[in-house]
Amino acid sequence: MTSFILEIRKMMRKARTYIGPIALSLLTLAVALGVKHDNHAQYMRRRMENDFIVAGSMLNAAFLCRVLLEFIAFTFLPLFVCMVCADLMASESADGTMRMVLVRPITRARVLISKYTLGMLYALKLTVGTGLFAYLLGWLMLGRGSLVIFENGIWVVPEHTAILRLLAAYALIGCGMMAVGSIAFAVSTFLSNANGAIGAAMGVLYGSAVIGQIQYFAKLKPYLLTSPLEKWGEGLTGPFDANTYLHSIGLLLTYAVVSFVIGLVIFERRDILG
Amino acid sequence: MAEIVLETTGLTKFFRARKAVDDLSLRVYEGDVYGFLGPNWAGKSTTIRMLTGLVRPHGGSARLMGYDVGAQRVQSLRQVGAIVELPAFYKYMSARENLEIFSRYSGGCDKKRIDEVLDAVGLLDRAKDKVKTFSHGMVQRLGIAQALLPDPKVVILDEPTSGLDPQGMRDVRELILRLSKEHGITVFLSSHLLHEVEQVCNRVGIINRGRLVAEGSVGELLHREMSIVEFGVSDIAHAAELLSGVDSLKVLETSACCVSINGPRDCVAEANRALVQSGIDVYSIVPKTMNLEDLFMKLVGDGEEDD
Ligand SMILES: Nc1ncnc2c1ncn2[C@@H]1O[C@H](COP(=O)(O)OP(=O)(O)OP(=O)(O)O)[C@@H](O)[C@H]1O
Ligand SMILES: [Mg+2]
Repeated sequence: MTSFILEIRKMMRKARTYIGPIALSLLTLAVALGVKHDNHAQYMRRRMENDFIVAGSMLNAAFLCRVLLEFIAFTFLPLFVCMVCADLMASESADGTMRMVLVRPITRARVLISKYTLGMLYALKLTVGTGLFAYLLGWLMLGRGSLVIFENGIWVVPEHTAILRLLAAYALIGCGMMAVGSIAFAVSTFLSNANGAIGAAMGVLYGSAVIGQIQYFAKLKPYLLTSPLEKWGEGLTGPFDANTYLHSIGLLLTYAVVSFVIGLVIFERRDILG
Repeated sequence: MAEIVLETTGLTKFFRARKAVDDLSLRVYEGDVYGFLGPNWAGKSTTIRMLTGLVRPHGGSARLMGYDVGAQRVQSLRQVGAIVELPAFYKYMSARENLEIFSRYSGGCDKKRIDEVLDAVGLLDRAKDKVKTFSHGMVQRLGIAQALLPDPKVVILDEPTSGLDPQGMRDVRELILRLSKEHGITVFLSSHLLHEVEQVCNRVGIINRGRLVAEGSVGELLHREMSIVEFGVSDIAHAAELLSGVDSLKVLETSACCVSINGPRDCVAEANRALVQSGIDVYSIVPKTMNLEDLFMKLVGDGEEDD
């Protein structure tokens, strides 16, 4: 526990910890402004509101949360998560503080576990925190209401259900970020360069997106990192199937656990030469 | 006999094909100030990394405070403070915060202790400054403070005076002597500064190219190893020729009035006997004192000739 608190103290003092939340907040604001003032969206809204009875506004908080996820789920979110997760180990190896810590009577496993736990909490908090912020901001700027989505038809999800389904979507993405963050973390146990680890993790993410598109690898597709991640929106544009979500979350957490174990094994055996 | 607090047996480490440490066996007893002496690349830091469990040896083992470092790393490091290579700190934090964080990794300590160690290295009035504003020498001092923090029984210091000014070096030497005398702390320090080791250490181990070339108390090493003796004789050429024939010693040089030889203590008597028996008059026998530097250069220099 002590070492976990020490990790929190170190993390709080680093600028990069705050880059993600600040950038994502600004981005949310930008998207909210976009939704509010986009002519096309407003036109659609007016037309829709003539033909249907929609409770509250159609371009609302729930809508913002959903649109935002489309923008950030595969871009900024994994990037900011990797930035922090890769830095946890790599910066200490690069600065030489790792050897200062490890000449003290503490096991390597404990150091690693404290850092990993913190990284995972950061990934979850950044994802869910962004969602919450988007909802509150959307509420303030756009109002609340049902979630209406035009995609293969028109989907209208009542407000209460929408909130739960959005939560499920954010939870799934949160687990996805834990998976991506874990990969970055695992790489950083043997690479004393955070940028390399960020590149590796983002490479796995985009690499699996590419491989998923190639017919030849169709058999691999269900196990690729992007496949479960892409399922986040399914419950918003169709009937909600809890199993799809649970299955995807399970797969993502498997990615996270396997990466962690690999990192642990490497770190336990590795010579600290930095 | 004092207890052994630090011991390595047959310690060996490769970096790819290069042997950085080669079958190294050392012993440090309780209360020793042990100088681990060697030129650049000799393998000092690598040995210290193995002693503190940062690096796994390819052969042999290290024991600290009676525990095997490989198998019981945590127990073996409980009463140890160490610097390995240059000390490193969280630059974005103050000196005091850094010490607080490092102390918590070994069970924590109170504020007073942090003040004490900061004071011991002369950094008390800079405690609130961020480490990023520190000079090289200040970081080195803070490193020593950090090693003393857990009130250790053994401190392992890798070149503790590197980068310090003369005053700083003197402070550190005095600090080490004080730790040893007043607090009974065993000190293991690596260095390539001979006069430093000569001044503070009671025992030394000399390492070159990963191998231990000599170990013992400073006095013992200087006397046992070799002594240089000048013989003032009547017939220089004859004496030189005669002495060259004696196996255990080496003729270093001849001048107008004397022959210098180098060899173990006992052969001085043997040389004298040989000279007298051959009818050469011996006017004087003058021992030339050898300091650690001569010894070091001799041992380390010999190593190079071997290859
Ligand atoms: N990370 C590494 N990778 C490869 N070789 C290394 C590494 N670290 C040290 N070595 C090699 O091991 C040998 C011993 O190095 P070491 O740092 O232990 O020497 P040292 O006695 O501490 O020297 P110095 O006085 O310069 O600090 C050297 O030949 C060095 O090249
Ligand atoms: Mg060194």
